[in-house]
Amino acid sequence: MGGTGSIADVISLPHEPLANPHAMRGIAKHPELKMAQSVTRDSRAESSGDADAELVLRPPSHPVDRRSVGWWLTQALVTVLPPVLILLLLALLIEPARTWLLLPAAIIGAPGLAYIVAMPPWRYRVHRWETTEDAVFTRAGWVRQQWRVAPMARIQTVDTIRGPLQQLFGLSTVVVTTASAAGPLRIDGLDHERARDLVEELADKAQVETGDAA
Amino acid sequence: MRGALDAEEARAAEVAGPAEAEWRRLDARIIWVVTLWGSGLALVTLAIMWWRNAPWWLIAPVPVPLVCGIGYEALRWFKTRYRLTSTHVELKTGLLTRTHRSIPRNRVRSVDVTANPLHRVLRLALVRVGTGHRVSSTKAAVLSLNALSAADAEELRAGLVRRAGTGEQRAIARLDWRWLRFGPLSFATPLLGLSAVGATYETLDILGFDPDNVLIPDLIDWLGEANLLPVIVLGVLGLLLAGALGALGWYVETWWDFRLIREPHGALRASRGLFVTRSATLEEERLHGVEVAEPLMLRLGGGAYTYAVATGAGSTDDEASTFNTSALLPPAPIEESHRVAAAVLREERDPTASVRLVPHPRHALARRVRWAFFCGLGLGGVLVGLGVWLTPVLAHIGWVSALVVWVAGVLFARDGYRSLGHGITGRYVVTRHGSLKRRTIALRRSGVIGWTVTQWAWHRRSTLCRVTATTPGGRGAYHVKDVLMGEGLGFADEAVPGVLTPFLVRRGGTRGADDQGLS
Repeated sequence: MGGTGSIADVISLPHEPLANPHAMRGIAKHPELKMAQSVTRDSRAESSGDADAELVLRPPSHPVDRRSVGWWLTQALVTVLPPVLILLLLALLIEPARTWLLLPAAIIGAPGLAYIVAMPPWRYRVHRWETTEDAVFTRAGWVRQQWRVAPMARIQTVDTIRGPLQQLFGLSTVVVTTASAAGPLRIDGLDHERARDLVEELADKAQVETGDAA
Repeated sequence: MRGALDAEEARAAEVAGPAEAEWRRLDARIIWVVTLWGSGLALVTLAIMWWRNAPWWLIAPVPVPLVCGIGYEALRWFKTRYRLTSTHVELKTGLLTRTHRSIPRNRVRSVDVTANPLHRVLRLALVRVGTGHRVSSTKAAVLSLNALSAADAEELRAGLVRRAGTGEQRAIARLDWRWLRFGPLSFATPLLGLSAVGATYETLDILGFDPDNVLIPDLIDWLGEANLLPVIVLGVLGLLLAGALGALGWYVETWWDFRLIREPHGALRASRGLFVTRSATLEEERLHGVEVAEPLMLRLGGGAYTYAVATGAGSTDDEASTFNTSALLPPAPIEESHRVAAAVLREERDPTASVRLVPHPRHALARRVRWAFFCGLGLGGVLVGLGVWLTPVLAHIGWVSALVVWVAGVLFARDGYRSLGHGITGRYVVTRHGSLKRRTIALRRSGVIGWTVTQWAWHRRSTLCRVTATTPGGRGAYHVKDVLMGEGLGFADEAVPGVLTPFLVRRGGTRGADDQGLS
C-alpha cells in the first residue's frame, strides 16, 4: 500500500511548480530512485507477510536543496570557530596561562570538529519534505529527528524566512504555522524560487483558513 | 470567507449608527487606587526612615515617585477610551505611542475579571479580553481594561460571552473545606518555611536590629550549649509547620469561595479568591479536553489538580502564575477531579478515568534507569575527581551523592515508567506521563490538528520515539512519550484517521534501515 502510495505521489508531481532548474533536476532524478525503493519495500513486505509488518513513517518525497550542506557547514563554522580561535590567539599571546587556554580550546574544539564534519551531511540526508492535496509532511533534524504532519485545512499562515547566511547560498526557509502553540513546521534550505512557488501553492491549497480547531 | 462576513458585519455596525458605538472612559477611581497604594507605600517608607533616624535629604524625595505615579495614572486614564460595538471591542490607549486595538467579537475566546483588595474597596475590576491567539506575544493577544467599575465589568463580560442559549445556570463544583488538607501537600511547603525565616531576617534588618552582629552570634552561643539533636528536629518541624501554615493561607486566599458554573449558553465560569478575586470565563467551543495533574506529594495524598485544555489558556506560563485561567478545580480528591472533568466535557465518565491505558515497552524503563545511572555517574565522577585533586572530603561526598542519585533515580524511573500509558476512549485520546508531576490528558480527537514524531538517532534500532499530538489548546502539544514507533503510529492513525495515513508504510522484520540518515 505504502509503496504504491509513494509511486503515485511521484507520478502526481507535475502539479507542483517546475519553473526552476534545480527542482527539475531533483525531480528528474527522483522517479527511478523512488520506484527502486518502493519495489524492494513491497517485496519485503510481501515476503514477511502483513501480520508482523510494523508501521513506519516513510520519508517525505523531496530532499532539500544541495546547497543546504554548504549553508549548514557555514553555520557550524560560525558557531564553533570564533571561541576556539580566540582561545588559541590568547594562548599564543599569554604564555604563562597557555595550558589553561589550550585546555578549554580542546574541550570546545574536539566536539566542535565532530559537529562540523558530521552535522551538515547528516542533516542533508534527514531533511526532506512533501506536500499532498491534504497535508504538509516534513522530516528534519540530525541526532534528534522529527517528522511533522499538518493537515492543509489547519494551516493558518505560510511564510518564507531568509537569514543572511541563507541569502548567501540562495536559500529560503518556508514556515507553516497552525493554531497550535507548539511551534510551526519549517522546511529549511529550499531554493528561493522553489520556496516562493511552494508558499503560493500552500496558500492556494490551504485557502484563507482562519480561526482555531473545533 | 470570514473576512467577508466581518466586512458585512462592520457595514451593519456603521448603519446601526453611533448610539451603541459610544467611546467610554475607564472608571476614574482607578486614579484613587494608585493614590492609596502609593500613599501607603510612602507612609511605610517614611515610618521606617523615621524609626531609623534617616537624614532629611533622604526623606524629602520620598513623595516624588508618588506624585509622578498619580500623574501618570491620571494621564493614562485621560487618554484611554474603549467601546463595545455590535461587531468589535475596541481600545485606544497610550501616552506617547497611541495604540488602537480592535478585536472582532466573534474572536473573543475568554474574558477574565480580577480585583485586588483596593479594587474591591472601590468596587472596581480589571477586565482582560483574550482572543486565544498566541501567534506572536501573549500580550498582543489580550486586551486589558484597567479598571472598570465592578458593575460595568460584569456587564461587559456578560455582553462579550453572551450567546444564544436556553440552558439554565448550573453549578458544577464548589469548594469543600475538607479539601484544605491538600493545601500543604506540595514541595512548596518547606520552601515557604525557609522564606518565612528569610523574611523575618529581612524585616529585622530593615528595622535596624542588625541581626548579623547581635542576634546570630547570640543564637550560635546558645546552640553551642544546647543539645543539638532535639534542636535540629524541632527546627525542621518548626520550618515545616510554618511552611504548612503558609501553604494553608495560600490555599485559602487562592481558592476561597471557588465556584465552577456552567452558564446558560454553555460557557464555563470559574470564580474564586479571598482578597484578590478572580473570575475566568471559558467558551465551550474552545475546550479541547481536560488534564488531571498529580504532583508527587498531592498524588500520595490522593489529590489532583484539574485543568481545562482550552484555546488561549493553560500554557506553561499560565500554570506557574497565581491566576491560572484553565483551573477547573482546586487541589481536590481525585474522584472529585474525575467527576468535574466528566461534567465539564458533558460525558458520562471522565475519559482520563474510563480509558484503558496501554503500558509502554520496557525500553522506556531502561532509558530512564540509564539516565539515572549517567546522572549519578556524572555528579559522583566530578566530585570524586575534585576530591582526589583537592581534599578527600569531596571524594566521600561524591560517592555518597552518586549512591543517593542512583537510588532516587531508579525509584523515579520505575514510577515514571509505571505512569506511562496511552489509549483511545470514545471521542478522546488519552496520554499519561510524569513522576514528579504526573499528568493525564484527555484530548478531543477532533481537536488534534497534527502529529509530530520525534526520535533520537540512538533509538533507531529499538524504534523508541515520542508521538506528539498538536492542538490549538493549552500547551499546544501533548506527548505520548517513549513508545515503539509502530505502536505509536498505529495509535495516532486510529485516533485521528486520515492525517497520517498517506505517509505510513508497513515494513516487515525489525531491521530499521533505509535512507533515513546514518544509523
